[in-house]
Amino acid sequence: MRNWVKLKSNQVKLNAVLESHYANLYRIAYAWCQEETLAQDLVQDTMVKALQRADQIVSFENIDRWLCKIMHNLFYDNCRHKARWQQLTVEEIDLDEQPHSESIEALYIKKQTINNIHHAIGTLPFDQREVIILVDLQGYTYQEVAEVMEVPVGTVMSRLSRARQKLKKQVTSERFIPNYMNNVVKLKKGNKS
Amino acid sequence: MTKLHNNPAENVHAYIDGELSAGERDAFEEAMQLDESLKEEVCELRKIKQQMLEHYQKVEVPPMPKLERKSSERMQRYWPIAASLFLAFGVGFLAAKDMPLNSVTSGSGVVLKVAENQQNDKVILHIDSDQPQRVNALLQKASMMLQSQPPGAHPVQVEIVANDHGIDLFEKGNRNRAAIIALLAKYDNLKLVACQRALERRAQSGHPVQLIDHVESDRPALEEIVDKMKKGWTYYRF
Repeated sequence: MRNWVKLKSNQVKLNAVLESHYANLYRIAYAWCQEETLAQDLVQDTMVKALQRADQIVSFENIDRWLCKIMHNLFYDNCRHKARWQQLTVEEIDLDEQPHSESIEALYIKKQTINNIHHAIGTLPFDQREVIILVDLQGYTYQEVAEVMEVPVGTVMSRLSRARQKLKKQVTSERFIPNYMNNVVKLKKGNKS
Repeated sequence: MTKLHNNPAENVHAYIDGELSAGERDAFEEAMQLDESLKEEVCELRKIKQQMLEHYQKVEVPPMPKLERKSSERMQRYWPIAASLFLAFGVGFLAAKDMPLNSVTSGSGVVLKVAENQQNDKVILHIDSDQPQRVNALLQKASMMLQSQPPGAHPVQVEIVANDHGIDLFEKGNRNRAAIIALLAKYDNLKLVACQRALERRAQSGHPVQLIDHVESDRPALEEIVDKMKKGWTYYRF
C-alpha cells in the first residue's frame, strides 16, 4: 500500500514535471531519431513509462536525468527491435575517400545537406549521437551522461570525441567537394606523326 | 572523475565542455597559446557546439497532448484527503507490488471509487506491436475481462488503444478481424481506438490502413491514454 500511495503522489508531481520538460525531451528525441513522428512516439512512450514508474522516483531534483534515462532505454530498444527504427541507421560517410564517380552538382547538393547540423548528426552511430546531444544540447557533465547511459565516463569521452571529429569533418571539410582539378582533363601535347 | 590525458590536445573536449579544473584549464590555455592548431581546433569545435545548440533551440516543438493542469492541481489539493480516506477504509488489496498503473485522477472520489470497484472496472489495453504473441495476449485479456462480469456489477469498460504497428490489429484484412468484430457485436462496453498519428503516418508512407467499423481514430494514442489514466482507468500495455 505504501508503494501505491507513493505512486499516486509522485504521479501528480510528475504530470507537472512532464509539462515543463516536454519541449526539452522532444528536442533531444528529435536529434536522436531525426524524424518528427518518431520523436513524438519516443517522447510519448517515455511519458507513459515515466507515469508507470512514478513509484521509483526518490527525488524530483534530477528528474530530467531520470526521464532521459527512460528515453535512452526506449530509444535503444526501438533501434534494436523495431524495423521502422532500424531504418534510421545512416551509413557513415567516409570523408577521406575522394569521390570521383558522382557529379559535382550531386556532391554539392550532398555537401549542402550535410552542412545542416541535424543531418550531420544523423550520420553518427546511435551511441555517439546520444552522447553529443546530451552534452551539447542538454548541458550534462560527462558523469551525468555516464549515469544516464549506464556506461563508464571514459566511454562517454571517447564517444564524444569520435562524434565531434566526424561532425567537424562533415560540417567544415571542403574535401567533400572534389577539387575541381580532379575533373579537368589535362590535354597533353603529343607529337603527331 | 573525468579521466584526463597528459597531452593537452587530448583534453580539448573536456576543455570546451568545462570539465577541467581551474589548474588544468590554465595549463590547457597555456598550451593553446603555444599551439596554433590546438587553438583552431578549439574554435572549430566550439563553433559546432554553438551551431548545434542554436539549431535545436529553433526546432518547432509540436503541442504536447493535454495534461489537464487544472485536474492535476485539483488532485494535489485533494490528495491528502483521498489518502487519508483510503487509509481509513483499510483496503489492502492494492498492496500487490506489480499492480497495473491505476488512476491519476483527482479528488477524494478516486479512493472511494477504487475501494468500491475492486475489479478495476475501467481498463485501458494498449498495444504498439503486431507480434502475434502480444496481440493474442491482449485479445485474451480483453475477452477475459469482458466475460468475467459478476452478476449485478457495473459492466467493465474495456478500451483497446493501438498505435505504431499495433494499428494493424484493427485493419480490415487482419486475421483477428472476426474475433474483434465478434467482441464488438457482443459487448457494448468495448471501445477500440486507433492512434490518429499512426494512421496518418501509414497513409503518408503510401500504405493507408483500412479500419474495421466502429474503430475510433480521432486523437493520438498518448492523448487517449493519458486522459483515461487521469480519469482513473487501469492501464495495461502489451
